[in-house]
Amino acid sequence: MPLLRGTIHELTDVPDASPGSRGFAVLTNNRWNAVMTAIGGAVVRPEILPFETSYSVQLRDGRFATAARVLSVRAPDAAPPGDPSPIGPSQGSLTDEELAALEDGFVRFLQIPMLLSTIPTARRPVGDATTSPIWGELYRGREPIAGARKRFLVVSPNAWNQATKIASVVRTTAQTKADVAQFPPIHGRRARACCGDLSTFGPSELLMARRDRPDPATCTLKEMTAVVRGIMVTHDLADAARRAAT
Amino acid sequence: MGKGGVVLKRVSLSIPEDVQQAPRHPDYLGLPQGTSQSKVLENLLLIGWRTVKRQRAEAQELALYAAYEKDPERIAASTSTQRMTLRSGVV
Repeated sequence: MPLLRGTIHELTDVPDASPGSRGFAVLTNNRWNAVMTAIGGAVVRPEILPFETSYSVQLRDGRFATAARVLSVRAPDAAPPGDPSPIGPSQGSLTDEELAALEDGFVRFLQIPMLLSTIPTARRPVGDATTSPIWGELYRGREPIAGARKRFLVVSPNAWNQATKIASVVRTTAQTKADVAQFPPIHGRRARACCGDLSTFGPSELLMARRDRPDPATCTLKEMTAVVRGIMVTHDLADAARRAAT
Repeated sequence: MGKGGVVLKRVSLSIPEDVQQAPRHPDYLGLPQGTSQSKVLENLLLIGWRTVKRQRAEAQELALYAAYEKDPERIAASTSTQRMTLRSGVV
C-alpha cells in the first residue's frame, strides 16, 4: 500500500528518542510514492533548533515538522533484509493548513523565490567549503555505493549548513539519461541530479577534505535553479512556490 | 472574443446524451445557477481537456519513476542513503 503525501508515520528505532516521539511526514508526490521504494518526507520532532522555526510548522500535538530535515528512506514493504525501513505505523496526517505551512517552509529552505525570480539570485558560497557543506557544491559520500563514492549536491542554505553542519543533498548520477525536470543535467549533461532522492546528512557522511572533492565541484546558478525546479515536481511544491511569489 | 481578449472559436458539434444534462447542473462545475448552456459546455470542454492533459502527464511521470526504480545504482543508493541519514543523527 503506497504511502500518501501528507500522512505522518512513526520513525522507529531512533537512538536516544522515546518511542513514538519522532515522525515522518510524507512529502514526495503520490505518483512517486506509488512506484518508488524510497519515499521522501520531513522529520517530525518534539523540539527544533531556534533558527529552524522559519522552515518548520508546529503540529496540533505540539511536535514540529521541519523542512530542514527532509529524508529519503525505504518504504516499509520495500526494505531489504538487514536494512529495515525506519517508517513505522501511521500517526495520522497533516491538516491542509499544516501541510501548506510545511511546504512554505520547504520553499524558503530551498531558496525557491530567489532562484525563480526574474533575475535569479542566491547566496553563493561563503566561507571554507571544507569546514561546512556549501550550497551549490558537490561532495562525495563517505559510504561507497556500488563500489564508488558517489557525489551529492548541497541544496540547503549556507547559514543552516554552517550553524548545524548538516546539509540537505541530492545524489547525482551518470546512469539516468531521462531528459525531464526531475533529473536536471549538470556539468554539461555529464551527470544528472536525482531530485526525488533529496535527503539530509550529518557532518560525518560527506567527505569535506579538499583532496576528496570531485572535479568539477560546483554547480552554476542555472543548474541549481533547474535542481529546485525538479524538487518542486517530485515533492509537489508548485502551489507553494506560487504562494511565495504572490 | 472571450474574457481577457482570448479568441474563441465557434463550432457546431453533437452533444452526447449524457452530457446534455450538464447545463442543468452548473453548480457541479462551480458556476452559478442560471449560467447559460454555452458557458457550461465551454467550461466542460476546458475541464475535460485539462484532465486529459494531466492524466497523460501523470502516466508519463509514473513510467519515468518506474524506469528509475529499476536502475541498479539507484537501488543500492537508496539503501545507502538511508543508512547515512539515520546514523548521522539528523532525526
